[in-house]
Amino acid sequence: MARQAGLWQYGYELSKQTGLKSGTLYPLLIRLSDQGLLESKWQEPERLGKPPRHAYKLTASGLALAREIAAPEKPVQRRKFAGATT
Amino acid sequence: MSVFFLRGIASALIAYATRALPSTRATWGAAMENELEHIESDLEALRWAAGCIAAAYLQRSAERSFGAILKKPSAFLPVAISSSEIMMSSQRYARVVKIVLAIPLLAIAGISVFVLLIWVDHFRETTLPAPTSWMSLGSAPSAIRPVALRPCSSATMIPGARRASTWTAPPSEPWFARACRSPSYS
Repeated sequence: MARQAGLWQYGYELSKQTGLKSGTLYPLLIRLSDQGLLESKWQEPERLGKPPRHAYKLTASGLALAREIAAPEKPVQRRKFAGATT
Repeated sequence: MSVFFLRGIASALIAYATRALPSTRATWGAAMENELEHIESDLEALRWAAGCIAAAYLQRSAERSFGAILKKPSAFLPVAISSSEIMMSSQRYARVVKIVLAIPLLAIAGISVFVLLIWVDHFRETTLPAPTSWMSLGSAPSAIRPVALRPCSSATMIPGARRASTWTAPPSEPWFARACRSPSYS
């Protein structure tokens, strides 16, 4: 979701992208939403006869947290770890 | 299995999942249910629905309202489905679930093969070996003089005998003729 920050995405698409099953994905989405890291809205379907879909997007704080987690570790921490092992 | 049947099961499961969710999460239940309609593959839809039941129970457990739904006996099957879904989603338990599911399937397959072998064997021609001596078949409440040994006479009851073995022999055997001439049976 952080890679496609501006896009609204659906649950099934997220499931396919992340490899998470719906049983894992939805509790995560609910928790992120409760913490204000995810926003959701109902979108009209692209095809007629289909029900509206719930779409999700990371909020600004959610995006910042995702980038922080995805960032590589600092070199200082690596040196400490190397010193501890030798 | 019919694809309509799979879709029907998926719809029933997702309806259960939406009911199993806490009432404050009704929007999320509707989101899961509507998403099912956008899944083309029926098998995928079934997996999705099973996962949604797992999600509903996880959410209930997170909000500490898990016990209420378990009081219903009808909740056993969805709980079993969702439990297996949760465990299958974990690589650690996937092998255990597969083994547990494989045991009854192997047992059913084994029993089926056994019954099939018995059925096939039922039509097999069997040649019995020639008898080499007298053979006791069992006990009778009263002694019957074996009519097989005396083809010319009828079977007669021996009064007063309470238990005695019954004997038989094929009349075509050469030793049968000798037995017939025996004075003990005259």
